[in-house]
Amino acid sequence: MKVKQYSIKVFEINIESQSSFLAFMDKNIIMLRHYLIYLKGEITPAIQEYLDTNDVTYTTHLNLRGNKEQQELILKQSDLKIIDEIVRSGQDIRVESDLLVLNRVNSGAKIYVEGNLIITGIVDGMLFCNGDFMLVHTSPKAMIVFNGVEIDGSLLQNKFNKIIFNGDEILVSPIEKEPKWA
Amino acid sequence: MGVVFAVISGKGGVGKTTTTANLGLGIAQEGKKVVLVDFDLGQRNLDLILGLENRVIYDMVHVMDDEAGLKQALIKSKHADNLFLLAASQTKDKTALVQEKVKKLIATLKEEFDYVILDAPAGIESGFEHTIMFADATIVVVNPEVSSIRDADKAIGIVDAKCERAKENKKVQKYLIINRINPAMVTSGEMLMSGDILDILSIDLLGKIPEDKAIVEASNTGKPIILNEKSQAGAAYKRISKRLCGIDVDFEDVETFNTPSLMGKIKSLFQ
Repeated sequence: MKVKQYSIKVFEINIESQSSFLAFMDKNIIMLRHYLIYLKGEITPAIQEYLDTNDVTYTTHLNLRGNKEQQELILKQSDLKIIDEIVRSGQDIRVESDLLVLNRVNSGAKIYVEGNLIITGIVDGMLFCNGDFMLVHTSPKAMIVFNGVEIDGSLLQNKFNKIIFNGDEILVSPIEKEPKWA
Repeated sequence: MGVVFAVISGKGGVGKTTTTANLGLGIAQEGKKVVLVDFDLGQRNLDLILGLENRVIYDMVHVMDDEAGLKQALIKSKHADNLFLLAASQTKDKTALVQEKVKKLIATLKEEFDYVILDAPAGIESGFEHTIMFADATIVVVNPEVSSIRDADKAIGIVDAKCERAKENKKVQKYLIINRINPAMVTSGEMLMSGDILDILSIDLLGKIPEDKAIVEASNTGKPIILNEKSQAGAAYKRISKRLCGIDVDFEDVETFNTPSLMGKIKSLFQ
């Protein structure tokens, strides 16, 4: 017998009406394809057909096993990696979780993140982020690839930017008031 | 017990060896006993800059392989009685270095001298790693240009990862010397400002040295620029040497361009 273990993210969706559910799915299908969907409510034939044709991974039965206390514990063990030192040229950092960098990322350094990314220092190096959002201050020299799309440096204007992937488009918005991290 | 400094840069030609020679002489002038060790095996230079080129009989590889005693191999400087050089081998290359032997040599030197200054080779290969492995602190020499800064950044990263002290979870102190600052070019924005360099590298500033044509001649004649009292670069090395001896010396502005014609212009107003 072969047993494999996966860590997955689950989206819980309550179906309130067929039309609102289908509208929601249509809008977010690109993102939702990467997750297991836990559906609550009535699955009408139209919904069933939508799920099948769009190859959505879903379940209607999910027992997370355990009381509330255990679930709170899981929330506290947040999946975040923190780097509290300067990332120097030649360093190649790969992180599967979310990442918080509390220093600079110098020219010649590369960071690959599967989750979300926040960097408090100035970025001169290369960033590859596949999460839902980034909060970074990049210099014009930096290269930013977010969910496979290279972000035009001129959009980033050498200041703190919030970069969000909302499912079908990438939104870049500068933070006018620079955050004070200390 | 002495302190071991490794002088590193990553990029070649930024003035590591010149810096090593001048700081060695400057610290010796403060009355400390100093030894300079040339780790640039196969491309020996430090003896030339100190004016000791024809005095090298035994080198560090001879000492490490017990073919010569340390006392035989140490060459006393012409310019100071308490400054000594341990030369690099000119025939053997960096593969001649063995970590255990380097460790033993440095431990012996630490007992004999107040300051042990190691001149690292350019690049970040095995010769470089041997130089930083047993250092207590590093002096990073950069020029105000992007390629030098990036190479230094990489070299600092390797120090943090590989140095013996770092592995024991002790801090390896890193000090920055910005060499060959051309005030006219800084003012015109062609050269990086020292503030930006410090932001990028995030290490302590030890000093700034202005570009000085007299350095070339000083190297060619084997008389380090620090001996030239008229030279601005010599004065900068003097200040840095004092700082390394724990003397608090104010930083001087070597980046602002003093237009030589300014006084002339003012004087012309009164004519």
